[in-house]
Amino acid sequence: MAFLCNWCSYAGADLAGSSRMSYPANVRVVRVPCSGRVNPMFVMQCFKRGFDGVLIAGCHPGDCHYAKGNFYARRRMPLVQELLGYLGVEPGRIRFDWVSASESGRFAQVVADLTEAVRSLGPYGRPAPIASPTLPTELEPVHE
Amino acid sequence: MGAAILRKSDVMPWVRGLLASYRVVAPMVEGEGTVRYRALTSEASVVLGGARPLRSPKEHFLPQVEPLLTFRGTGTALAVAPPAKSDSATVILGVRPCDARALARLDDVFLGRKDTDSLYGARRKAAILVGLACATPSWGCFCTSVGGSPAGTEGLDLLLTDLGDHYHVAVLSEAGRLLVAQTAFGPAADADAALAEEQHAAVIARMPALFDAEAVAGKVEWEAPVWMRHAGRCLACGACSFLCPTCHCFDIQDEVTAEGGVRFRCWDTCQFGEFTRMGAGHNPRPTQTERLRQRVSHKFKYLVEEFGRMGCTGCGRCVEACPVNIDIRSVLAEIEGGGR
Amino acid sequence: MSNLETALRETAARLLRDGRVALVLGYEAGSVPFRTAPAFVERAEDVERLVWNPFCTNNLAVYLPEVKSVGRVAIVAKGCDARSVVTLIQEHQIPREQVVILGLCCSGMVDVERLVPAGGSLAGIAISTGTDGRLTVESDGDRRTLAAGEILQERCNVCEYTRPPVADEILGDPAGPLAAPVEPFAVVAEMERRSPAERQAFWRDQFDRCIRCYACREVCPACYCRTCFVDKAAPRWLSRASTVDDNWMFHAVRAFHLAGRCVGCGECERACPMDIPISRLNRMLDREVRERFGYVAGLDPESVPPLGTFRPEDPDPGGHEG
Repeated sequence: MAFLCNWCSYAGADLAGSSRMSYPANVRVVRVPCSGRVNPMFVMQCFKRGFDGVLIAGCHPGDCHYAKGNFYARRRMPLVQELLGYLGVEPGRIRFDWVSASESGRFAQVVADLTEAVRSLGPYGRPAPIASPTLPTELEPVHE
Repeated sequence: MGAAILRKSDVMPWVRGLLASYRVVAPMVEGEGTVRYRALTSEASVVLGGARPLRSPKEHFLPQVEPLLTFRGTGTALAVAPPAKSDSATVILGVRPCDARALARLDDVFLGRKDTDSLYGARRKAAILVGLACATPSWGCFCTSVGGSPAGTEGLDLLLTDLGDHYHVAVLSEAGRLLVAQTAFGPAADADAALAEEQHAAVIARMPALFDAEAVAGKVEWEAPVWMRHAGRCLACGACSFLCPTCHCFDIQDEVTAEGGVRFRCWDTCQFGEFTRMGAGHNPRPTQTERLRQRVSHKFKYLVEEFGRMGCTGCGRCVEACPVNIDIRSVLAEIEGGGR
Repeated sequence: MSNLETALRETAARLLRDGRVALVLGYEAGSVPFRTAPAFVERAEDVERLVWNPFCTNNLAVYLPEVKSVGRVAIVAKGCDARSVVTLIQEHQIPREQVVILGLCCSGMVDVERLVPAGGSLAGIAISTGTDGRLTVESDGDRRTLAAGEILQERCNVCEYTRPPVADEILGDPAGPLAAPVEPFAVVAEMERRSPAERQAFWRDQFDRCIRCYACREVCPACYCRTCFVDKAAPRWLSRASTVDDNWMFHAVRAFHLAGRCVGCGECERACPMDIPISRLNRMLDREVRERFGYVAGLDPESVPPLGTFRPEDPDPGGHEG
């Protein structure tokens, strides 16, 4: 899962796409206004829901469209990495980086690097959900 | 219905034999020393003895989370399925008298009203309860104050009393008698029965009744200051209710994904602030004062009025778990003593 | 200790009589010898209820947001509790002028489980304090005499603030470091010696026991949100059901919400009925915040919590993989 800020990293990813750059298809993108908008709970939800890696990319420090959003993210995201690492999420699964609107090549590289790191770590283990994953195919009475 | 003895060295062989036909649940010690009633995994972790565990077997009959139905949307139709069956024959070992009595109280609520709870009922019907008389009360215990006993037999199929290298086994039901008919058990001598009774009496003597709980029902007052006096420090957590073997309130929620989902019930407690909060924001029990009043009144007045029996078996877990030392024994003693 | 108790009662009586405060938040005798209960004293003639002993474990700051409507409040505070009060002041939950911090120099709180031998029972226990301050504990035929300092809670063994750093009045002599000080983050380092898979397994085991009673959240003075993230339906972050997945989410998020705000009072862990060592998560983040931002929670009422601010020269992790 990749959280990309609208003004820089998402634009960079978009540029990578329109330049026909190749990068692994395992990434799902969520566009946010700013890397500072990324709530640590998003990252935790990703792992809870079965994602194997998370990328948070923002503008380079000093370039934030909202002046200081990425400065808050710069304090927040490393702590998320530490906390999740302490809980057993391998550090290589979470990457926090800067990608500017023109850095299409950098975006592709960052995604490729993270994909490779996650691949070598394997799928992120998580326990089964509360109900059987097999959903019903026929209508059946609920009461005897 | 008779008695038998079971040598301690024969307990695990007996249990292994049971595993052929039953699911066996026993008190098992986990990391950090907590004891929990769980399906048997490792014989080494079984704990039969000591103070009553902080968790009760309630969770095997009313699990903390229990699927009620699963559903899937198929265009314009909805497919719904009942939950997996939970009625496999189970033997629960080491059930304390207070907890067995509590299950009988839960039977009132789930099976004793006009509509019965089939999920709870199926689990109850399939379970055989092997009791263990308490040799050591825990510091919060007060079963003797609410008409119970550390050697009580209500709700049990067998009651084991620890006599050193063997247990005296009181047979209390047909299901219990069938279990005892196995080779692990030997005949009980009169001396065993006498020793067991002696032990029971000794433990009961250490637990004099602290108040007359029957009298409480008539003395509970809606507006009394006793509630605020004790509830002022309550933090509205759920430790007391979740550990309580008779508390049974639950919430029903849906967990939904794009393909479908599951409707489940999970434990809830009248002690949470939002328990009675309405959609528009009004809350008829806005502070801990009203909520403590509710909890005590429910157990000692409303359930008495409905079933003639108290909804508390004096296990003392709420007393021990409360982070701010709200002691229901003190509350009850004050009410019963006429203190307001 | 009894001198301190007398001084505390006199101080409380004076504050109430002079009308300086409307309420004194303190401790009173509990229902058993090894517990005290939070006390709300509003009249000078009731100060005899107040006690001070090694069983005064609760962090009373948790009540401040709720009781401040009565007026100015005095709070009996150990070093950890005083730091919680400072956190509440920083976050505008109570104005500085509305709280009178009665800082008590603390020699540590007893870990109640260790009053009796392993496997022993606390039922029927009797505890008396000798003139030398040592405790005589009688239970189940066993009689022992020991110093409270020998059986302190883990958080007391690593305490750095036995003298409350912010207070309106200080009672007692500033105690030196507690006996046998232990490296403050040793318990964090221990976890870090385990592989990620071992840590996952460890925490899954712990969260499997969690019953989501929220005792940890409710005893915590820093958890004062009117609507906790757990109770939000839109967006719905996690289920109310106690599955390992959801419990993991609850504790991970709560720990993060406390980053830079937790003072290490350890009440969450004491309150947990399932013996989950939950404060290790908070302690780890405490260390990170100190190392990365040079910030210790609850020392300065004027400062801003670390995640609510930034410095242009903060370390730049961009390009690292964590």
